[in-house]
Parts: sequence; structure tokens; C-alpha cells
Amino acid sequence: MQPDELDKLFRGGLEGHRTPPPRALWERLEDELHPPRQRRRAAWWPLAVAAVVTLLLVAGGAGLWGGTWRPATSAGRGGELVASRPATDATAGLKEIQKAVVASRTPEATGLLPHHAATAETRAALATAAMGSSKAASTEVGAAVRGHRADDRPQLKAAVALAQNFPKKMPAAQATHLRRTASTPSNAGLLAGQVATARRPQAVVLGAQSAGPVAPAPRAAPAADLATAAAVPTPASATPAEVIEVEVRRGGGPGLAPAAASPQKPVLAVAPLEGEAPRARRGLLRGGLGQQLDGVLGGAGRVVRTARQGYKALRELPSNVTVQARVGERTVSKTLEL
Amino acid sequence: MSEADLIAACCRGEHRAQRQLYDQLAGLMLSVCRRYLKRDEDAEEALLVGFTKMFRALPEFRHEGSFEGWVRRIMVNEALGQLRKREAMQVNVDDADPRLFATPATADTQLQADDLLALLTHLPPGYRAVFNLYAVEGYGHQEIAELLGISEGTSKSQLSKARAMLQRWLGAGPATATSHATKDYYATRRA
Repeated sequence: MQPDELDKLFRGGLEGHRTPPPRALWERLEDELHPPRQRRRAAWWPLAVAAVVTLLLVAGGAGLWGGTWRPATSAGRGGELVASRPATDATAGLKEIQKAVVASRTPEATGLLPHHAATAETRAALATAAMGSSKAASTEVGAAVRGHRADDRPQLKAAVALAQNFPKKMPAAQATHLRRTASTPSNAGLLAGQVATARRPQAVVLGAQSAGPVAPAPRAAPAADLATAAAVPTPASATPAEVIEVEVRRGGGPGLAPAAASPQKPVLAVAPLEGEAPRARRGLLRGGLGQQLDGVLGGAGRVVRTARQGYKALRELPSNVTVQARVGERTVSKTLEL
Repeated sequence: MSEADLIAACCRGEHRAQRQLYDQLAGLMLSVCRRYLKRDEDAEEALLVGFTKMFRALPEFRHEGSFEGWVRRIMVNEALGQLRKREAMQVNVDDADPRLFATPATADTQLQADDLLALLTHLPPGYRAVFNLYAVEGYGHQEIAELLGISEGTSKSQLSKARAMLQRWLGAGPATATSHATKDYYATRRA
């Protein structure tokens, strides 16, 4: 074989020869051309983003589902929250109520005491209510009476009702004031006294500081059958010793016996019932003092009903009415000829 | 997609185009590498490195000649580099396995490509490189000398000895192969 023939033989035989490469060779070439870090990063990036978004959605959904987030404009379930406060205040408010309830279970603050034992607190409570010129005072008394109406149980229920029911319809400031009132044992006792007062229809005690008692005589002609007792409120809180008791009795004279010892029941006519009293009578309560009395007695249905009975009794009185004011140990009485 | 578009896409780093170009050339180039390298792993390694260099040098291709020839040159260079690393270039003919010569083949034998490839791989590395470059690839002795870092005389000598071995294996016998005078051997050199 000539050298040229040999060369042709090999050139012709091998020129178009192909050897299939192994499959792994391309993968190795890919690793060389595109580093695995870039390829893995490019592959994991969308997955990582999807995982993060999923986690955020799950976390947000769980938070909403669990109720840990509430819109700022909605009040809490207890209704006692200021609208702009977060939900944690709702929990704090409920805790305060619980504290008040627990405190009210103590013997000192419990309204389960006999009525005469709670009289001092009752007076203080009403004195505070009468002196407060704001709506909060009326709210306290109204709440106490309403709590008494709803359930004849002691002030325990009343305190809870105060905290839970009323703030829904009250401004936030009043609700906060009410909470503060119920948050201490002494104030819980005050509330208890208010409830106890509501149970005592014969005695309406208007509190005032040591300022002189004011028992205005009837001014108009129809006022003959109406005796109004009022007190001038002062900002300071009243003590039981500073409470002025005013009683109105049929007839009588200077030597009138105390109400508790008298066989004749006192006739109480402090304010006409809202919506039932004649306009002429209501006119007596207009003005600052009248509004205060309205605020104090607006919700005291039991007391006002007693006053209505007093109206009938007063209508039957032709001649004299005795007004007796008791300030501490001193008693001053005045007989009015009608 | 034309060859130019394919090359342009590969230059942009498009993964799909690179795979397509690889599929077109890998089998052919692996066969080239196997002609120079005895072990398949070395041939595959040469192919891998050659393709890597080719893809990275692709923006430098000026479209003045055959693209396949350009790639083949890269592969040959890489195979030769691999040959230098793996096998000694200068191998004495006497060190060759005598069993190779005990398998005579006639000139009329219809040899398949794989058989030819097997015969080439049994050549000593130096002989194999020179014979492949001269007889199959078409290089001249001067170019071979530059590629292999040898003299032209060494390239011609090794080509003559490689032919004699192959002729002997193909049945012509060593005597026949060696009967060609040195003058005849160098007479086949290309310009």
C-alpha cells in the first residue's frame, strides 16, 4: 500500500466519523459556561420570594383571625374604650372592672350591708352626684338606678353594668370617669351606696358642702303642693358630716320629730317626673340648679315615683307644710303656710 | 436558524443556542479528540475544555473561513495539549506492544471507522499526532513542527514510521512499510 493510499484510507474513513458524547458531558459544559451558583440562585429566587409572600400572608391572616388587630375607629367589645386606643386598653378596662368587682366583694364596700349601715356612703355618693355639674354625675346615679332596676342584686351587678353597658352609649370621657369610679374599693362603695339609695324611696339626700342649706320655698302658685329641696353644689367632695338632709312633712311645727321616729311619713317632693310634671312645675327646675337636680334625679325612677305620691299627698294638704333641714347635729325646721 | 444566527445567539449567551451548537458539533469533535488521545476520558476532557474555549472565543470568530474548521482547530489544539499532559510525545517504536504487529490485515480489508480509530490509538503518541495532523487533518510538516514543538525532520521521520506501522498492521507487513526508502517517505510531504 502506497503512503498516499494509506492516507486516503484513513482520511476517508475518519473524516465524517462521529462519536456520540456522553450525556453528562453537556451538564459539565453547562457548569463551565454557567456557574452553578448563578443557576441555583436564579432557580431559588422565585421560590424564596413566593415563600416569603406566603409567610406574610399566613402571618397576617392569623393575626386578623386571632383578633389581635382591630381597626382604630372601632370601639372594643366592652364599649369602654376610647376610639383611638388600641385593643390592649380594652383588656385593661376589663381588668379594672374585675378589680372593682373583687373589691366590691369586701365587707366594707359591699352593698349587702344593711341600708342604715350604708347610709353614710349613700349620702356621700349622692352628694358627689349632686355636686358634679357634669353629665358624669347623672350618669353615675342613673347607672346605679338602672343597675338596680335590671337586677335587684347588690352593687356588684351595678358596677359591672356600669362598666359594661353604659359606655356604649356614652362619650369616652364619661366612660373613663365611670371606670375610674368603679376601679377603687371606696368608689365601688359609692356605687353600692347609690344602689342602696335607689332602694330607699323615702329618703332623698342632697349633699352639699358646709355652705348653708338652701331650701327654697315654692315660688309660683302651683308650688303650694310642691316643696323643693336643693343644695348648692361645690367642687369639693362632701363628707357624711357635711350632708344636709331636708324633709318635708305635712303640717307640723317647730318641735317636729325626726323622720325615723315620726309615725307620719315624710312627703318628698324634690323634682317632678320627667314628662309627667306640669310645665309650670318643671319651670322651677330650669336654670343651673334645676339642671343639676335633673342630672341627679333624672334616672331615679323609684324616688320620683315616691315624689308623685307626695304630690297627691301635698294636694290634699290645705294648710301647712314643714320643711326640716338637718346639718350634722343641728336641725332647722320651717313651717310654711300654704 | 442559520449558522450565523446560531453563533450570534451563542454570543448573547442564550442557553438554547449553545445546546444546539453543541449537539451539532460534539460528536464530530469528540471523534477528532479520540484520534489523538488513547483514553476516552482524556478525549472527553479535551472536548469539554475545547467547547468551553470555543464558546468563550466565539465573539472573536470573524466568519472568514469555515466555522467547523475553526472549531476543529480549537479541538485539535486542545487534544494536543491533553496529549502532552497524558502521554509522552516521544515514544520509541521499539517500545510498542509487539502484539500489535501480530494482527495483520490485508489491504483489501474493508475497515470501518472504529477499526481505523483503534489502529490509530495503538500508534505511539508522537507517531499518532504527526500522522493525524499530516494524513487526516492536512497540516504541513512546518505547521506540525510548530504545533508539536519539534523540528520538521522529526515530523517527517515520525510520519514515515507511523505509515510503516500502519501498513504492517494492515497486512502489507513491516518490511514493506520499511522498504519505502526515507527518500520516498519525505517525498510525500506537502508543500
